Amino acid sequence: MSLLLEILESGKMKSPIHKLNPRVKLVWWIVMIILPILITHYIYTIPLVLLSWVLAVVAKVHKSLGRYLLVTYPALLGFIILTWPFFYDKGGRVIFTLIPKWVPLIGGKGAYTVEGLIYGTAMALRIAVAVTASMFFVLCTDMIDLANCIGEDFQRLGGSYKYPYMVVSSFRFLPSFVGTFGTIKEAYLSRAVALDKGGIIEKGRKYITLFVPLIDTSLKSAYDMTIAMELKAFGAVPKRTFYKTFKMSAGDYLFLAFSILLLIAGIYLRITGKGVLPL
Amino acid sequence: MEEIIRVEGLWHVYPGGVEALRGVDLTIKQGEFIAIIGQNGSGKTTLVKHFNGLLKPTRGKVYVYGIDTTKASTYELSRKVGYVFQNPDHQIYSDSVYDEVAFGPRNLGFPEDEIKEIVKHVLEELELSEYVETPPFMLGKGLRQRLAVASILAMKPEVLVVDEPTTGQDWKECVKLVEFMDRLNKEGHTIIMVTHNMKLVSMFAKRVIVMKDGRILLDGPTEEVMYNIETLREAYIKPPDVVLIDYRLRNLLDGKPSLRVEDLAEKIYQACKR
Repeated sequence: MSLLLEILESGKMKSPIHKLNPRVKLVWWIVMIILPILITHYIYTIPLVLLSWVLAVVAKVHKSLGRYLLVTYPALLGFIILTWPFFYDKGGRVIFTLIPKWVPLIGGKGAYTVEGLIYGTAMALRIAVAVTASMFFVLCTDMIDLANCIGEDFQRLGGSYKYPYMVVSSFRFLPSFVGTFGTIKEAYLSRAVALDKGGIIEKGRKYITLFVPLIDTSLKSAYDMTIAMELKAFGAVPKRTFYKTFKMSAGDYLFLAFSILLLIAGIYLRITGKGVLPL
Repeated sequence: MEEIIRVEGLWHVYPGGVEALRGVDLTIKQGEFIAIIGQNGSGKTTLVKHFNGLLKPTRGKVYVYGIDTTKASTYELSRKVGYVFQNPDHQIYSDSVYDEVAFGPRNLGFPEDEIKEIVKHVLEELELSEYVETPPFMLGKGLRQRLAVASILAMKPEVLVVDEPTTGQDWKECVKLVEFMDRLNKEGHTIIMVTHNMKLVSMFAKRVIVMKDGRILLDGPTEEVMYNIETLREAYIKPPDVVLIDYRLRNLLDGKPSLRVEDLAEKIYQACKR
């Protein structure tokens, strides 16, 4: 819970990247999700992973990024590198086989090949591009600002501001939600619930009980908030103004141009086949 | 009286660097009724959360019945120190009042026969017997607060820490609850009450600790602290009107400072007779 809060707080830091318009960062993030779909070759995906890390250093979030990805990288990427080669069916130099050759009928199946390993690693790197960029995006973007931006644009396109406001409210609600969870945990500890004792299932069972008061208090808070908003005439007018408006600066245009260039390069590499792993 | 809690040079710094406690020294003896007062953010709740190990000292030591709280879990300390939270809804879990009260003793491994006896006794004491089968969330705020106290008392703690027990309750409910704590105190329990309700403090507490900016500003018998009006003002605390009137008339009235209206009325009556 507190990890989530930490990540959200990180979006409020001050740096040249944090200062960028949230819309521009959203475009960059979408580009970084599309690129690994277009490009499979590691000579392009490695620099893309590094790009997120360089930007993270500029944004001074590299330490947090390292902390969060320290668990994700080995678990997710290791899993892909270990398992993906078994699904690679184009043959190649066999390192080992899952089922020994002497086993009747299915002997020799599940070959782990050098080519499969390269393919698996390339796939893991593609995932790494998306994961690193996503984490970087979350660490460098104030989610409330982003939701406000989307709200503004949504209204401009003729939509209701109520839906994006719902998203903003949920982000604002999160710190108090986390705080309440902490208090409930303390209340349970005070009643001799040894939350950290026992096996995974027992711990899980104990933690589930915490959600009863959490849901109750959250529903009450949500209900109170609805009343408070209605008392302040929320929804009385079809359009509203925004306290904070997000204008595009020269830096924003530069970052946007860079993102679009990356996308064009990705499309070019895909069409020419240069970005595709020759396996 | 036996010393049950000893706090030595206690500092507590929250993640983010907020210094909530700055060198608190304190001893609490068996059978005391203590009120801890101070403005919001003065460190009251942070201090009492050290008594059952919910918080551990950043610096300094806290001993509860001689046990260093850094070496004991809340689970172990909860047998000695019961903690009632400000919002009863943060601890309600069960679907009947009976199970809610039985929850703590079950966690402590009490036999089911004993639990039955304890629950019956505690519900009677807190006048909750008629709600034994009622789902706790269906009770009113005052009753839920009493249920929260009941569910902690059922664990038979020797010390009861009650964090702002009267928030959002009418005067009748407030008095009922604190009168119950007073009764417990007379039976030998140690009561530590964190509150902003100065009227209740002057009516029931025997000792008052005033906190300001993470330090103890005043600590002493209730009359002594209440009549230290200048220092209380420093902590933005206004004593009850009865104290202020007595203070203003101190040149005319005899006897020790009054904390109750009846005492003040009697003193004024005696002064008028003279």
